[in-house]
Amino acid sequence: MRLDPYLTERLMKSLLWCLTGLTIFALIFIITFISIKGLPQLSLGFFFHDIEDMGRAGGIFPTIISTIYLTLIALVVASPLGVGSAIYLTEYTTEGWITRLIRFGAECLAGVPSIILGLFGFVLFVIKLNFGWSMLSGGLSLAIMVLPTIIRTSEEALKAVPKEYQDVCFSLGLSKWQTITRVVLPCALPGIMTGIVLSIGRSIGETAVVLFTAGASLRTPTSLFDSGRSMAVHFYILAREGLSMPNAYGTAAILIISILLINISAYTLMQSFLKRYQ
Amino acid sequence: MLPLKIRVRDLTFHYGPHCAIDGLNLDIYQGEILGLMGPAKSGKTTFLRVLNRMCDLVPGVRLQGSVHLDGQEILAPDCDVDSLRRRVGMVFAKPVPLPRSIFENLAFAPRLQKKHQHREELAALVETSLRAAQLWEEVKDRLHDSALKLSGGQQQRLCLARTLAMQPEVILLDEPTSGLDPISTARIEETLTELKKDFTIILVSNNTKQIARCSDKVAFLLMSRLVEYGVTPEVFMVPKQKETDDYISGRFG
Repeated sequence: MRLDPYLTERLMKSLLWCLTGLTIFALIFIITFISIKGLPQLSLGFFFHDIEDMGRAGGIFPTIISTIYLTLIALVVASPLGVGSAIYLTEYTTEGWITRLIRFGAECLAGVPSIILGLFGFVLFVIKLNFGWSMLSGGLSLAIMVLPTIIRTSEEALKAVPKEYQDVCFSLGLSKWQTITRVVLPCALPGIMTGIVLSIGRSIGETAVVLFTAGASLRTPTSLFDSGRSMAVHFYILAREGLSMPNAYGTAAILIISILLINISAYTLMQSFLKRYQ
Repeated sequence: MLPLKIRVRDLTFHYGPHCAIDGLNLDIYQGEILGLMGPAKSGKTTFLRVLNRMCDLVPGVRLQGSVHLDGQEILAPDCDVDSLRRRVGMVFAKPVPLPRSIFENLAFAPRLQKKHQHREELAALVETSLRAAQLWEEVKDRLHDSALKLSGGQQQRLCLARTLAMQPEVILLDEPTSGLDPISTARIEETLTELKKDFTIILVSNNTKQIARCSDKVAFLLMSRLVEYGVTPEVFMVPKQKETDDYISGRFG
């Protein structure tokens, strides 16, 4: 017996609708849950006070600073490396076994569990290079973690720029580098930014890597070589040690809201950039 | 007698094992339009891409012979390709405006050349180029709008204007009207006839009637070889070779 195509159509449509709905529901559920539990904890003091009594009291100011520190270091290191590699791979080499090997390597790097990256960062940066548990060690380890994402998304963005643009630029007597900086990169920028914004989100939320490399000091870091705990690590410790669930949820709420805000502002910036350029 | 601009001698071009141009000899004179016609894969586009060394961008090509531009060898390894391309401009079959404003499309390459630093100078250059390409009247009030919003015919004239803004000596046109409607085509042809006194123009077209209308000299390529070359009316009225006759009368192609 064959199913009526009209019936199948309706069946599949509702099934796909349910699947999409479920995905959205999971997202909404997490955000509402964290907001309900966390938002009541928030006050100005929670943002701007030091951690007291191991996190049972006081605010989370040091963890906000640590998170910003770590994310900035990761970005400053990983963005040029990643975008540079992507430009090299797409513009300066022809497809061959070397590029495939590099791409395969980057993909493997993306598949390494973060806890192992944390261990690697610990061995290399904390012990071998003697940076200690510090913002620098943590930031560099995060950079390694987000590098594959940045390379991959930048590469896709660069490849999506129409080849004709390059032909036109060359025919106008532009050098390769001029072509890349004046035409290819501006066209690919929205895609590249997407990768970088994703990486910001991952860096802010990452726990395992940072726990191993930046330590969990309660103080506010003032230099690259200070230890400090990120918001995610703080949340992990508060929840795991059962120190203070309300404060844990408060931290989680700030974590989620800040990632949301970064995504929204990056998106708005991108839109205005696109308007200016086209 | 018009001055000789480009002299091609024994030019042979290979893409890997495939021979795209086989022993081509051709003289191109300043101030006239040379029409290049021939069926697909006859080597027309390849020839254009040799003249501004765009062929370098494809890996695995081999070139023999010589091409002189004003007596200077352009196939020499030490030839400055970027400045060659500024002297030998190119308009592609598909109009490709860059995703910028109309003004920027024309101004950005000359600005990078550093010859035109001042805003007024650039603005003047943009205006002259747009006028020469017969686009000025249509876009003068929206120079800072995106070039992507123009119609196909306008985009192609923009591309021509962009090439003119580089102030080249030679203009290569690779089927510039293949995607355009008859009215836009007529405007481009008009423009070319206007431009030929200041430039050396090489026009590749699949449309033999267009070649007959626009060009002063015509070269017919077939299977990578030059079959016939001569003054346009003569070639079209009394072709010397049977292949040319067959091609222009549409018996193959």
